[in-house]
Amino acid sequence: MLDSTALADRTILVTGASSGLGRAACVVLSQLGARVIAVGRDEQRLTETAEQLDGSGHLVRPFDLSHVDEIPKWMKSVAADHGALQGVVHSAGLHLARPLQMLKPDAVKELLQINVTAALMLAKGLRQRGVFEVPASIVFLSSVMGRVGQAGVSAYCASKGAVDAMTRSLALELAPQGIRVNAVAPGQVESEMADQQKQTLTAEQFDRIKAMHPLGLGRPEDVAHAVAFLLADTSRWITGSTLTVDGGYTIH
Amino acid sequence: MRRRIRDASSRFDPRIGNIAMDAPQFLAELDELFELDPGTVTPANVIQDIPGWSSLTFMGLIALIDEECGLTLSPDTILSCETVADLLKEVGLTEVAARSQAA
Repeated sequence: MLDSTALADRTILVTGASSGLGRAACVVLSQLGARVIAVGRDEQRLTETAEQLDGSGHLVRPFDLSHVDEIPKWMKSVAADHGALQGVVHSAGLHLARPLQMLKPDAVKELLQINVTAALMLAKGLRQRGVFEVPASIVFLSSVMGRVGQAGVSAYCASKGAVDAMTRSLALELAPQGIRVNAVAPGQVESEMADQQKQTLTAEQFDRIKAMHPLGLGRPEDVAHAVAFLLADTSRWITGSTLTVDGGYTIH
Repeated sequence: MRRRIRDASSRFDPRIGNIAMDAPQFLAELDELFELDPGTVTPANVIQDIPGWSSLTFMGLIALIDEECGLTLSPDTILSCETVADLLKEVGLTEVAARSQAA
């Protein structure tokens, strides 16, 4: 059962913690007793996240994940400063809506850097000696877009398909060390990223997407609870899976 | 050299003419987006009558305005523009547009 002690004494690093799903994950994890290390680029916004957390001992660590080369070393310093980690949630991510004639390699590279390469480097960082402590669990934020298609969103879809694929391989590679690896694939959630997506859709197009979710649009905490489940011992026999949390979007 | 203005603190302001591109460049970008010969799209065109207009080119138009003009216009604002001239006005290229038309 997930109760207020489900993640007691666990230190969990959350990327993308300054907004949306990452911030919601930090809040839910803190309610379950975890000590949260909130990571993002903007210290001010991370501090705002920290102010919403239950309990004490939470930390704010500003870091720009686009510096992918530095991630493993940086994680070592995080563990040296604050103790070994029992979990990592990679919620930082970029979205890109471009028809092919407008799609530029630099934008694709930037997107893959955060959504895919940073995810791999976080796993590489966690597995280092002294950085993790069992039971440890990694949760990546995937998307239903990793499984279904949407015209004009091919780069984003590719990145999320890659997240699902790497989740399986990393789960095999890290199982001997006692690190589980899973992903959560949300449908459309009311969040900052969704607001950004709305900037590329007419009201009519957005209503159509909304109608494709039988249970309506999700809330950030709907995803955060799935993340918490995959971090806690409630999921101790689950690894390499992508948990769909989409209000029924992909069952059509 | 086109100047891209991505920083919200230095957002495009038509009053001070802090623009990322001029009207002829914008029209050339539209030709490219709709895959038409250079010089095909003019300010007089009704946007939704441009050959190749679709939900995808519409998405591309939003991206074009964002990337090249440093502006985030809502899709409904863009759809409220009937002609290319209306759109040029919306992205703050009116005066330059008038000049390019006069020329």
